[in-house]
Amino acid sequence: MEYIINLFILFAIYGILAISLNIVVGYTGLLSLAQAAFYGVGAYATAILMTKFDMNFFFTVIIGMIVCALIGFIIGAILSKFKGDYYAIVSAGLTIIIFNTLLNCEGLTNGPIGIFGIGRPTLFGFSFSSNINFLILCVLTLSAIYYLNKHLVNSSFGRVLKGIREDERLVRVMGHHRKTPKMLSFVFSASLTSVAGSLFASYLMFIDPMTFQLHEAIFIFTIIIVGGLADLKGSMLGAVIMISLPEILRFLGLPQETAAQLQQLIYGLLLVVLMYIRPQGILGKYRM
Amino acid sequence: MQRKYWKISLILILVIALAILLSNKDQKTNPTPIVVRIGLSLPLTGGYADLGLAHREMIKLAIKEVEEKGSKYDYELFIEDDALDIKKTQLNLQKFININKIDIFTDLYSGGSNAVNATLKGKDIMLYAWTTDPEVAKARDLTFTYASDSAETLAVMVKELKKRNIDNVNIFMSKISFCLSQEPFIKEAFEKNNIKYHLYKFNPGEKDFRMAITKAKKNNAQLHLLQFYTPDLEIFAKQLKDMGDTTDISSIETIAYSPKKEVFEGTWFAGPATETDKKFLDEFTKITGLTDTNSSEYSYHGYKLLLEAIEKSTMRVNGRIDIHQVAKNILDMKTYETSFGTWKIKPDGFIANPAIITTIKDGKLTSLY
Repeated sequence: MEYIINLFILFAIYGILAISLNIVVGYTGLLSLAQAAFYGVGAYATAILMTKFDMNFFFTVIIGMIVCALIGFIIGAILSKFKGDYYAIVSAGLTIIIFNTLLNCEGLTNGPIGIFGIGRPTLFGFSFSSNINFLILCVLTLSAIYYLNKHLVNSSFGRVLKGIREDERLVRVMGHHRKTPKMLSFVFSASLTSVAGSLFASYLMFIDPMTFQLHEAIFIFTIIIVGGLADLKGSMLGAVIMISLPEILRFLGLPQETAAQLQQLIYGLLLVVLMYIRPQGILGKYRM
Repeated sequence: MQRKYWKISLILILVIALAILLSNKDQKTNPTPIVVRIGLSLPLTGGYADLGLAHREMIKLAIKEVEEKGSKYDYELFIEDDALDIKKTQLNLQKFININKIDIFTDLYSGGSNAVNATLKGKDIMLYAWTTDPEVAKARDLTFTYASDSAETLAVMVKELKKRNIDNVNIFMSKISFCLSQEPFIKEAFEKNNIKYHLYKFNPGEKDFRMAITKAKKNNAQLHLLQFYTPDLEIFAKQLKDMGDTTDISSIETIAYSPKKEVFEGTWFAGPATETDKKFLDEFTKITGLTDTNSSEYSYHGYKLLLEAIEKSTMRVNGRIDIHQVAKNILDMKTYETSFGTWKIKPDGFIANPAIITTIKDGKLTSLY
């Protein structure tokens, strides 16, 4: 049961990451690879504030969101000048910068050794230290983020984002500013991603910079491609599939000598087949 | 349409649950008198796969030898790949605890061990890891780590530097925990002994060291210390050679783990290994097809020590081995003889390997003294 609970915690954390990214990629049509950067900033904000300043988890989440929003604002302003492949390259650059900062600011982040001893959240005397309680917190957070985003994408602002995705010039003709919504969607996504980082740090009780590299950004990107772009439920479904698939492969009874390699082979093959059958993702409404 | 895909995700979850139930059922229908269950989370894919694969074979060899002598227990191994990714290590640990019901967990790196220590807090499961960070063992009574004692290795290194009249050293270091955990020991030992050092650090994955080599030339150092793990170690040595840098090279421990020892022919360094035991090497080659043991002897002796402590154990808790008694047995040993020399078992759970000065002769580790 504990194993299943742990899996569900990861479903929820990666669900938040995927929903946050879908706002930028699926709804605004911007190819962002910056998610791992904000994920790392959020995780480190919680880790540093909880271990060095003994701060409550929920305050660290808010501070992490503010820090990510500020970084997102600065980077978003630069990124709003780009689109397509260029946007992807510049956003990937941010992930590399943040990773190197986490790795090299040893006085603050403890460098590659990482930070351990991160606590689980407590709120008005109620502790989320057990995995089941922590799962409840994760699910509540995911639900709140899901409904917040649902509201956002159905609002007039959400329609502008979709307009930018379909035709930026048309949005300008309609009298809307195109750079500001692009930047705002990026800032909004960055601050929500930070929440996932905070939950991840508290869940593992240890973090090091290796988790927040470009390959993690690509993994989150794959989740929303598999689940489907421009669909919030698709993001959550993508997270469930991408996290549970390697777990299912563990139980195939493959020969021990080659099990790890075969599992990766099958995992890759299944993704290829899935993309071949349904290139827009399982619940996708938009294809890049 | 959408419901169909939600059903798919539900089916995925049910498949996992069913698989778990079935694996539990197998354990119930085939009861074994006393089984010691060991979960190994190793890098079986990715850049450190050679290390993980060697460790996997070494625990099998150690168990085989114990069983041939007549073991009190049956040993069951559960092996999963983590590619040195904490998230995967954590999921492996959860699977081992909840499905395989392990008694002992083992992994190979400080990051994973730190996360595992937090999860295992309050649980009667031993963490037995090969990690260089001395803090890992201090976290729990049931956590043991085996590695070289950095302070002792540095003492041996400094003694050798003094003997060779070397007091100006360039240190080239990779920013991986394996190398970085030695940094404070290096600084302290060198500063205390008035050895001038110039430290250059590199991010993991960096492969072009020529700029740093050029910069370091102006230091007129008598020695380059190469603190990298393979393949960066060999790449660095090759780039030094290509640039015509003839300054002597050495290292603290890292050269001992190079699978291409011929690159370092004639090089001396402070490290853990004596000559590879011939009998062990033959057996190793038979199992793996490799002619260089890399770090495998380390884990072989580490697992032998663990198995010896298990075999000495007599007490049971709910039909299972008493892991606290195993921990006590390890501590009671105090020392353990290996082909590396005598390992010292410290009260905090750190099992320290002695340091010696070693050289590479005919592509093989040869102890100088």
